[in-house]
Parts: sequence; structure tokens; C-alpha cells
Amino acid sequence: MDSEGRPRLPSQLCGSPRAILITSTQLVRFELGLASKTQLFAEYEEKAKLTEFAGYDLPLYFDSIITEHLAVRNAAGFFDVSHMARFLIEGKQAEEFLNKMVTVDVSKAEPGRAQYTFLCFENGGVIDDLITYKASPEKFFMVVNAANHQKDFEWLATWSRQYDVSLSDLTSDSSLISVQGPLARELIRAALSLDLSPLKRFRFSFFDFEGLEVMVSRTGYTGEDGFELMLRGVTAESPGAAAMMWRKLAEKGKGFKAPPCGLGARDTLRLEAGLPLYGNDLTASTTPVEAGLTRFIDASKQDYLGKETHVRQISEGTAKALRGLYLLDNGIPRSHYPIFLSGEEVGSVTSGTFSPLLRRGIALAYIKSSLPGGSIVEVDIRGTRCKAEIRPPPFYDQELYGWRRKLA
Amino acid sequence: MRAGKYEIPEDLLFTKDHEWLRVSGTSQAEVGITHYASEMLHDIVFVTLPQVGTELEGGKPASTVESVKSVSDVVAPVSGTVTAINEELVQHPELINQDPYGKGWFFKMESSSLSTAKGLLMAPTDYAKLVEQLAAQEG
Repeated sequence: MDSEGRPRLPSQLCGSPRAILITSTQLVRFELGLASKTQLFAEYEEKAKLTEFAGYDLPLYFDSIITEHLAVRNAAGFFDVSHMARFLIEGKQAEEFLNKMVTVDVSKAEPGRAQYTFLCFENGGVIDDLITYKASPEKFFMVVNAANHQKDFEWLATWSRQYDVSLSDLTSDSSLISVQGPLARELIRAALSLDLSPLKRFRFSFFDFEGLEVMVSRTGYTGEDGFELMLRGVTAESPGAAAMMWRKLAEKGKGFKAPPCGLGARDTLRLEAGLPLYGNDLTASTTPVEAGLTRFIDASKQDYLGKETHVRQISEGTAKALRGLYLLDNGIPRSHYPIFLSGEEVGSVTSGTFSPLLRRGIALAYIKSSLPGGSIVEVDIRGTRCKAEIRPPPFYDQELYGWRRKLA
Repeated sequence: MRAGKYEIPEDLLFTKDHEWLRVSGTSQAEVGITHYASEMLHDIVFVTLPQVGTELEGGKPASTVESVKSVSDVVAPVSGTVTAINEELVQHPELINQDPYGKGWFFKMESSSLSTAKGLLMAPTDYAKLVEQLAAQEG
């Protein structure tokens, strides 16, 4: 956890806290500095090139980042994303509590709805971006970034003391598998015998898998149609049904040209789709308004942490804005590379990579907000100025790729 | 010879930074990166090459190689002048992964210090030991 993101204890909470239930075994592991393995680690330990991420040993790639990336765009692929933290928030005031914490209005959502939103500091800076899942007004799930697991849990726990809610950390006894790509639904039907066709985007529902409850949402981090399957009652020591789910996907995946995929492809896929990454494109010193994500703010709701700054920025505008960059010259932009226009520095890259689909350098960057789309700027790539065009992502042709594509 | 799954041709010299040098005649040499390096970088997607005529200093960066995730310098194993570059790599950087000691060569150089290079660079057996050590750490 970075020091600038460390939550501050709200001063009004120093009184006597009411009796509440706050549980997390994963936080104990973090406190002890133990490297964690997900429920599925044994399934790929010998098959993947591994990397450490947010305290977990995870696959960087199985075969190659590029082939895995293209498989997801052209067919499907599946990812172990069990490192992402999963919380359960229950209680009479669950809805009221969450509406104070996040930027969208969860009371307007019907049960079964997943919402992309933000946790923010009082000054409007982003603590994390996340998805809330409303099972009922008294029961919500939340999936947050692995790198922010501890920070988010502590922040929520601190504020929850003012409300009649309980907060529990489901991360260490549940698994999360993401199946992404135009053939994701067909693969899941063939491999897991689950019919997900009634599920619309950003909806979730509960199904039975091998006698266990699996929560399936039509969500993802690739720009493609896809599903995320959370299986409860599985641990790293006793992965049972989670391991079975992974093996069934691997076995049926072959016929679909749908391989297991690693974090490398996950990053290039999200960047091609223009989806931000916390720690790079979103930080404690940026707001959702600066990141161009105002559509995930409901300024009409009564109050939430960060609202004052967001409302002011929406009406007055911001100096910088998160934009997409498409390299016209050969070269690959990387984070922190400066951006120039007519010799003046106008911004800086926050995420950059080689797009496997377009075979071009692409980036997300904070740039002076006065520059319109279509402007040509220069990225300083280790001393060489490379021309790039400001383009709204996704970078791919949405007629051919992504969840809005027209299926043949 | 091989070090684990990595190929190490016996007619080349190596640097600890994983470049290879193929000496021909008294002053001509070809430079590239080793099989081990190309496997570590994985998915090579971009290279920059020096211009023909550039004076290179031994041990200093001469070129760059980028994978999806990272960018690395390619160091000139010896001092000398660039006489040719492998322009095919600009369009087909994957040649480095496919054939690191052949079609994946980076540049050729003319050097007057090749006779002393043998003492400064690593022999195939020494480089194989280095790769074995690194592969063991990798696990």
C-alpha cells in the first residue's frame, strides 16, 4: 500500500464505536507479510510464467501475451482473478452506508445490478475503482483491486462504525474466474453447463455448480463480452470446486481456441479498451472527473465522500484530463514518458503498451484538457520525439471487436 | 552446447548482459542477443537500431529491444563502427524470438579491438555457467 493512499481516520469517529462484525483472514496474512497464492495456484504453477502482483504469485503468461490477447479478441480466454478482493456488506443500513462511500447511487439500482464506481477521499481523490453488486438493499458484494485490498477494507471498516452494517472479507474463502471474449458464453455453457444467456451486461445472478453457489456477473476488464464467476466455500488449502471449474474450462477451451491467460494479456486488453488501472491512471491525486469518468458519478444524490470537489470540477472543468494516445510513429510509450506540443510539456503517459491487435503503440495519458481529440502531440520516448494522436478509446474498431461488435 | 533449454553456439563470444558476438576475419563482427535473453524478454515487439556509420563504444548501449512489458538496452560488446543493420527486424521483431543467432541479428561492425575481445568477453562454456545459475534462480 502506498503511503499517500493510506486512509486517514475520520476525526468524528473517535467516539465509542458500536458493536459490529468486521472479519478478514486475508488481512492477517498481509500483516504477517506472507506471500499469498490463490485457490487456483496449483492448477498453473507448472504451466505459467509466474510473476508477483499485490502479494500474490500469479501467471504473467502461459504461452505468450500476444497469443492470449488475440485469443480473447477473436474467441475467448479465461483468467484467475482470485487475487482481487471481495467484500460482503450486510445490514439494515447497507444501502445508506454504501451511498456515503461510493460515487454512484446504489439505491437507484434494482437487485441483481452491478455498478462500476469509486471510493474517494473527502478531497475527491480516488481511493479505488471497484464494482458493487446489489443482492438486496441490505446485502451488497464489492470487488476491489488486489493492490488496494487492505487500504479499502480498513477505510470501509472505519466508516462502517457509524452505520448498522457488518463488513466481511470473502477473499480467502472464495475464487474468482473471469471468462472473456465473444465466445465466453458458449464456452461456459459447454464447460460448466451454465446457461447465462438471460444475464444482461452489468447484471449478476446465482447459479449452482457442483453443489456450491456461484455468483456470475456479466462484467470484465477486457472490453469484450464476458463473465466473472465467484465461487464461495473454496480456500487455497481446499480448492475443490474452483480447481474443477478451472480444469473444465481448460479442457473445453481447447475446442474453442480459448486458452488460460495471464496478467500480461489482462493489461494489454484493458489498455486497448481504454479501461483505467488504479495506481497508474487513477491515484489519490486524481479524481474520476479528471479521468473522464463523470458518468460514474451521481451528483444528484444527497452526499458522498468527495462530492464537493467532484461537483466543482464538473461545473468549472479541470486542467488535465485522461486521454487516449495512438502512436503515429514507431515506438512504444511507457508510463511517465512526457508529452509535448510545440516544445511545451502538456502531459505525461500513465499507461502505455504495444497493442497486439493494432500492432501500434497506445497509451492513456493525462494531458492539458484544452487540447481537443484529433490533436497531434509528441511523446518523448527516451529522447526521441514520436508523433501521437489524441483519440478516445477503445482503440480498436468497435464494429469488429469488443462487446458492442456486430456478431456475424 | 546447451544450458538447460537454452541454446549456446560454440563459435560465438558472449557478454554478461546476454549479447553475442560472431567474429569473422580480423576486423568484422556481427552482434545479437542470446536465446536466453530472447526467452526472458518474450514477445519481442519492437527494436531500435543504430545508424550505419555510428561509432560504438564497447559496453555502452547501441540499440534497444522491447517486449510487451519492458524495454532493454542492447550493449555493444566491443568498440567499433556500424557497417550494416538488420532492417528486417523493424517490421519483423519476432525474428529475434524465432532465430536469435541467425535471422535475429542486430548489426554488424568493423572493429580494431577484436583480438583483445576474446579476453574481455565470455567463452561459450563460461556463458553457459552464467545461464545455468540464472535459470536455477528463476526456478
